[in-house]
Amino acid sequence: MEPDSIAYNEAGTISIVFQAGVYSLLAIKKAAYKFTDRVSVLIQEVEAGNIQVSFNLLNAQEQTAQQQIVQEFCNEVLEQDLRETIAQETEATRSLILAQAFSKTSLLE
Amino acid sequence: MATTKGKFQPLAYYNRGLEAGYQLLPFRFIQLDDSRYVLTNVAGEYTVVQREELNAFVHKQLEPNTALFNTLKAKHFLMDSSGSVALDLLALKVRTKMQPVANFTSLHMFVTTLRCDHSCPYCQVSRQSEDRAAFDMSPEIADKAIDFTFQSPNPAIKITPLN
Repeated sequence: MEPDSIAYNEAGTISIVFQAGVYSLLAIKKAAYKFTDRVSVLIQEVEAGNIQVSFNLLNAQEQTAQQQIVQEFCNEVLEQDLRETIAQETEATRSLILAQAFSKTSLLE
Repeated sequence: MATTKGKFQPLAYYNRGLEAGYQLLPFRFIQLDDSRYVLTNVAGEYTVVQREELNAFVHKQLEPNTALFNTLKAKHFLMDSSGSVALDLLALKVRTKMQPVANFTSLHMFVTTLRCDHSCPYCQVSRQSEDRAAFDMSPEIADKAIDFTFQSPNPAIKITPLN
């Protein structure tokens, strides 16, 4: 993550800009949902189709704790992105397996 | 001494196709602790791997015939080019596991009325007095409920009135 894509402002809001084409909006949304117990999240599209995620911590935290949340969030986005990769690559196989599993035709015939 | 033909093919023969890489089979993962992840799949198989191993696996960087590769192959997390047996086996496991789902439910509970003067502790139906006929099931609803029940593909159906 580029350092200038993360900003901490005085009002306690943290903003992270994710580059379009690198991270999907779905992965960012899924990651954000996982953090809703600790932060309120605003997701916006900014210039060049980039995605900006703004956090407001629900409980006032020290800056080290804020940095930790940012790191965890960035890792979570990566994980969600990996899940999407797996889902896309295995979608056809999954459909085939389920079709075969629920087919009334015996697999042994 | 005459050269005899060996009973087995050389190792390269059995490794053929491994160079072609492998294909991911559907799976999910969740973080277990700071460094490990649990992988699960539709057949209910699971395995625990390190973060680096998960990344290498998904990005097709696993070396064939390593312990991790063989574990993931045996548990249907990946399929190599040695045939479609893995896919059939996985489908068979899913089919066995999902058999009750494929047959839908066999138990159908009909709440035909709420009028009851008992207070049985096991009954989840709220109790209404004998003159409260407003909650009785109408013949039309009862007919639809019977029709719905017989749409079930399950060969053995049980109908239980709850009142």
